[in-house]
Amino acid sequence: MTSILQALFDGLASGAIYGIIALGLSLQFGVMKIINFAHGSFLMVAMYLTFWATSLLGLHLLAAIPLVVAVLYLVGWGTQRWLIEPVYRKEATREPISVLIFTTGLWIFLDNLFLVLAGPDYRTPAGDWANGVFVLGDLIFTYPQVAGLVVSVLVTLLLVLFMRYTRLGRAIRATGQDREAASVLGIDSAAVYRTSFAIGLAILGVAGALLLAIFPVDPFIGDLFGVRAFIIVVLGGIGSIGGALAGGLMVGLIESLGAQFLPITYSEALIFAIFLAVLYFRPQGLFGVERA
Amino acid sequence: MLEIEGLHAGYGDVRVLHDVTLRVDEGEIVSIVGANGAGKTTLIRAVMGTLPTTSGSVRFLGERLTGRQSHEIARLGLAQVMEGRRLFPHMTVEDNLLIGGDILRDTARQRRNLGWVYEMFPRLRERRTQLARSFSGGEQQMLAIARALMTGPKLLLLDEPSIGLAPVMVKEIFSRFPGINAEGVTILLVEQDVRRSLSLSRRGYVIEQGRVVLEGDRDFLLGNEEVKRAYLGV
Ligand SMILES: Nc1ncnc2c1ncn2[C@@H]1O[C@H](COP(=O)(O)OP(=O)(O)OP(=O)(O)O)[C@@H](O)[C@H]1O
Ligand SMILES: [Mg+2]
Repeated sequence: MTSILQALFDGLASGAIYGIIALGLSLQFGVMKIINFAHGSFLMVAMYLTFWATSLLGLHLLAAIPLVVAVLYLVGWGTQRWLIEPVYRKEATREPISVLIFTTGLWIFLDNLFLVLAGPDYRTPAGDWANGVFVLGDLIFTYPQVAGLVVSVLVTLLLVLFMRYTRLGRAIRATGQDREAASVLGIDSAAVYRTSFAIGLAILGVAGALLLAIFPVDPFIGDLFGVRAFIIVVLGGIGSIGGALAGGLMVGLIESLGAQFLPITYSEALIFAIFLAVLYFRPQGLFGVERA
Repeated sequence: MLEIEGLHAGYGDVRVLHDVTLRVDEGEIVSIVGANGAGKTTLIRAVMGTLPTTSGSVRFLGERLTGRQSHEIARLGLAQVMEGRRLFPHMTVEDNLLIGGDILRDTARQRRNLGWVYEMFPRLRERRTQLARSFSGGEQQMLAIARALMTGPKLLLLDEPSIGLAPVMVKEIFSRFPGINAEGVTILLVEQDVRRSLSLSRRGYVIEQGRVVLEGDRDFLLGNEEVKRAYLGV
């Protein structure tokens, strides 16, 4: 019984972080209809930035979050403005295939850049905060797990409120639903795209920091979590913010509860099986709205 | 107010508009009529900057619009009610309207405009928390018009507001245009319902295959043999 409860908590804790890893991807895809294949690599970048903030600057991992978020926001804005936008503009009348190819190139470039910059070794954050635990009877909650759960839920909630109640949030939703209709109402869709991409990466900054506390970083870590983020986005429903969190929690739970009963490769296969089943029977995702 | 001169536009290699010249003066209601595929929507899109023009010029209150982006054009005081309404389907009625008012960057004016359009279309107020896509065609068209009015436009471009609607609904919607015009909004009305739209207008233009083939004031056009035969079914 205790082990089930523990697995439940472990699953929720890592699932919440998976959720906000997927959040930015879902936002970008929902608004801009582009698939950012470099998403996992940006996560890797966020993890290294966190690592360096703790090791070189001596910051507490949680204190590093605002810094990493700020850098990722700027990187996201710049990537959209100077790299994706020119490609996107050329393809404005066709399907944005070249954006797809471009982000794939960016993915490979970033992975190899960090192989050169950081070397092939695994890195864990400096400081011993990540080893701290709360003990409750037979249950163990690590500090990073508790922080990950709380912060992820908070970030998701904040994004929901932002999208629902602010002028910018409304502009982002409108642009995602009908770009031309939004632009004749005075909304600058290029600016909305830059902001959306930047917000997507900023959230990934939070996710990267939280993930580093439970998972070591190496230059190719993005491949693993990038694929997982895609699965979660599809499970939760593209563009659905709450859906990303729910999808993340689901994957986390399958992983941890599955490990109680199944060999680890089976629970990984189970995640893919559920993913395919959802794609087949409910392509709009478990929590997504049907597209008109 | 709006001056279009020698305008050419199209889609890629397909040229649709040829040397279109027309104007709309402040305070007028002007109609553009023409059959399916004549180029009416293309003309409106060229004005709003959602379609690049090949040559010619479009001016609004003395400002050159050609080469500007749609959102900048909207901020100069033009609003378009798009063909097919193009509401934001997953948003509530009120959010659709607020988006229109966001351009003003002035919450007080936005509130005032919201009151104005709710007064004009009380049904929208009753259903303000519902999703736009749950609406009937007529209600959607009201919402599309109200959303454009939320921007506080000087010139309203209406692209076939009657399309796909039951006659009573068309009548109800058209009955609002004189009131909107009286509030100081100049109207350019694109329609296939030629009789109804010309009746409301002071002047009109007839477009065929991307060219202006006839223009004049209401009575001239309604009395014209060509117009009678081709568009009024007389
Ligand atoms: N996106 C497009 N790409 C290529 N050609 C187009 C496109 N949109 C319209 N056309 C062509 O341009 C011409 C004019 O179309 P437009 O939509 O402007 O006509 P319209 O007068 O608005 O017709 P309707 O009354 O049916 O709305 C038509 O021949 C049409 O086939
Ligand atoms: Mg048309």
